[in-house]
Amino acid sequence: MISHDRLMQLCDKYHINYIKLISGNNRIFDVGEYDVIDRTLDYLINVLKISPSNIEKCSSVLYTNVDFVSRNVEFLNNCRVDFYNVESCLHILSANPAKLKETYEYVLANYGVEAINDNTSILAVDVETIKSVEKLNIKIDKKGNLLIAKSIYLRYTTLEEVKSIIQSREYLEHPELFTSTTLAQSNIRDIQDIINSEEFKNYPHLFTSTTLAHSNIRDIREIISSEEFKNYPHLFTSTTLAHANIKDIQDIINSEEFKNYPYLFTSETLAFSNIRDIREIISSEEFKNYPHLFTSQTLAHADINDIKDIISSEEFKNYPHLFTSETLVHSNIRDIRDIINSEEFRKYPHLFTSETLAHSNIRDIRDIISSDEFRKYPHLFTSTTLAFSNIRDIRDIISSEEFKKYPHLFTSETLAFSNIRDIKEIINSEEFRKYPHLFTSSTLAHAKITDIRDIINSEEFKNYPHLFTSTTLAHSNIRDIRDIINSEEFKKYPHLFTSQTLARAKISDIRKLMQSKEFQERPEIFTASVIAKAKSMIVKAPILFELASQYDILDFITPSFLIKSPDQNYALISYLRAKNISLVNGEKLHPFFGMAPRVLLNKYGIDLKELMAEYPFDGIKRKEKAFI
Amino acid sequence: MILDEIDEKILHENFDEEMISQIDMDNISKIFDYLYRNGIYYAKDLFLSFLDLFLLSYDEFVKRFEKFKNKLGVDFAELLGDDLSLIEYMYID
Repeated sequence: MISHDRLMQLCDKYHINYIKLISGNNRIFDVGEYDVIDRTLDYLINVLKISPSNIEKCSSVLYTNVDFVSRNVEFLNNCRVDFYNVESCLHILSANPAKLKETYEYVLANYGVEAINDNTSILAVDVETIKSVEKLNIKIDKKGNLLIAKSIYLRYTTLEEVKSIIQSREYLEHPELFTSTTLAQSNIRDIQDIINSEEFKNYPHLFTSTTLAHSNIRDIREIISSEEFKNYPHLFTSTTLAHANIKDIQDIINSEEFKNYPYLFTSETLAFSNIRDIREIISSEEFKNYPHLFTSQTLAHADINDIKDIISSEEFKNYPHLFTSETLVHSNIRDIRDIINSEEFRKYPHLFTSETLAHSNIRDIRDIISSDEFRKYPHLFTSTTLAFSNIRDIRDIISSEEFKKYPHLFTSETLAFSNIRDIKEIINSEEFRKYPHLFTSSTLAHAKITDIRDIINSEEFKNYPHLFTSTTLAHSNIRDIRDIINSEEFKKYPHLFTSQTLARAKISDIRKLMQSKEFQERPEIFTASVIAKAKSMIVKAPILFELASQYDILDFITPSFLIKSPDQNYALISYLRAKNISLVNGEKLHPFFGMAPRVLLNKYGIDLKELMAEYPFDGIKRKEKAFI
Repeated sequence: MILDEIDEKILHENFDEEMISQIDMDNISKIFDYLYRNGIYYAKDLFLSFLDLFLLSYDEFVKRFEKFKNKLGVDFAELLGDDLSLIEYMYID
C-alpha cells in the first residue's frame, strides 16, 4: 500500500502530474509500494527517458508485474518494434514476457511489423484471443481483427457480443455502418435501438459507424429533441452524437464564451470539450495575448496546462514562427524542446516548420535525416515529409519498382502521406492503365484504390466526366459524390457545382448553406468559389450579411465581399466611413472591397492590416449593438 | 511564406479546420514561386481567400492558372489584383 502523501512525494521527485496519474485509477494506492514505484519510475524516466506524460496515462505499469518491465524492454529493443510506440502504451511492459514474445511473433508473421507499430497495444493480448477473432471471418480490413482482439482483452466487449452483432439483421442491412471500431466498441442491443429508431430514419446523415461505436439511443434522443439542436443544427454532426452528451452541449451553448466567440465553436468543440475546460482556456492570459493561436481545434483538443508550458517556454520566445494553433493542439513542450535543441534542427532549419513540430518527434526525424534515402533524394524530403512519414515507409517506397518506373508520380507529398502497399495497388490497377491523366502524385498521396475504383466505375463518372479530375480522385469518395450529384441542389443549380465542389465540399454543408436565409436573399453572389467553401461559409455568411445590413450595403455586396474575412470587410467599411467616402459608388459597392489587400497597399497606400488593428471587428461591433 | 498573427486569424475566419489541416506547405511554396514568376505579387492574399485552390496539386493549379491567363489576356495580374472575383474562372472545369 502507498499513501497519498508518499505518492505525491514521488510525483514531485519525477515531475509527474499527481492528479493525472491517479485520475480514474485508485488501485495504485491498494497495491503500489513506495520502493517499487520509486525504482520503476527511476528506470522508466532516467534510464529509458520515457516522457512523464506517458506514465501519467498508464499508472498500472508502476505496480503490475514490475519485474517483467525490464525483460520486456530488452526484448522489444531487440525486435522490429518502434520503441516510441511502446511509450504510449506502457501497460504492455507488464505482460508476461513469454506471452508477449509469442504474440509479437504471431502478429509479425501474419500481419507484418506495420500492424504492430500501428497498434502496439496488441502485444499485451494473447494469441488465442486473436485467433478466436480471426475464426469469425468478419468482412473487414484484416487489421480490424487486431482491434477487436484488443477490445476483448481490455474488456470493452466479448467474443460472444461480436458474434451477435455480425449475425444480426442490422449488420446485413447496413454493412456500411459496421467497421472494426463499431464491432470493437458497441453491443447489439445499443445498435438495434439506434438503427430501429425514429431519429435514425429522420436524420440518416447523423449516423455513421462512429455514432454506432460510441453512443446509445437515449443520449442521441436527448440531443436530437433538444432546443440546442433546433437552434444550431450546423453544430451537430455524427461526431457530436458519437462523443457528446446533452448536458455538456447545453452548458457550452448557453455560456458567455459561446456568445462572445461563436467562431471558436464547431461540432468538434461540442464533441470533444466541456465548458469548464473551455472557460479555463478563454479566461487565460495566453488566450488574451495570443488569440491567433486559439481555434475551435484548440478548444476541442488542447489542454490549458500544456498550452501554458509551451507559451512560457524559451523556444516559443526564440522561434515564434514555429508555433501555430496546430502546434498547440498536437504537441507538448518536451517533444518541442527535443526537436529545437537537436543537431538536425541546427543543420537543416528549412525542414522544420510548425507542421513538423506539431506532428513529428525527434527520433523519427533523426532516423530520416541520417538515412541513405535522405542523402540520395534530398528533393523528396521536405518539412511535410518529416512531419507525416517515417523512415520505414519511405524506404519501402524508394526501393520499389513503381518508384523506378514512374518517378514523376513520387513527390515529397507521396512520401509524406502514402505507403507502398497502397501505391502498388493503384499503379497496378486497370483504372491507372485506362485513365492515366487522372493519376498524379496527389492521387497517389491521398487516394485508395477501392475509392478510385468506386468513382471510375460509377454512373456519375460516365454522365459528368468533366467533374472528375485528379483532385476529385485524390480527395473525395463515391458516396459523397453521389450525394452531391443526386441532390435537388445539383439539379437546381448545376453551374455551382464544379470538380472543386466535388473534391472539397459535402452535400450536407452545401444544403445547409443553400437553405440559409442569406442564400435565399442573394443567391446570385453565392458562386462556385463560394459553394466550394460551404462548410466555413455556413458560419461566415450570416456574420457578413449582418455586417452589410448594419451599414445598408446588403443589396450591393458581391462574391468578393463574401470571400474576404469579416475583419477585413469591417476594417474597410470603417476606413471609408471615417474618410467620408461612400460605401457604394453608383449602383456598385466601392471597388476597394474587390481588391487584393496588397494591391490596396501598393496602389493607394492603404494598409488593411493596420486598419484591422485600428478598427477591430469584434469589440466595435458589440459596442454598437449594445448602443442600438 | 510566413503567416503573421493577422494572416492566421483571417485564414481561420475564412476556412474550416478540416480544410486548413490539408495545407501542404511544400506544394504551396511551389505555387507561390509560380505566381510570383507571373507577377502575382499579392499571392498571399489569394492564398488567404482561396485556400481551396492552393490545395490543388502544383500541376493542376498551373494548368488552371494558365487557362485563366489566356481568358484574361496580358493584363491578367493587374485585372485580378483589382477584382479578386475574377478568380471564379479558375473554378470552371
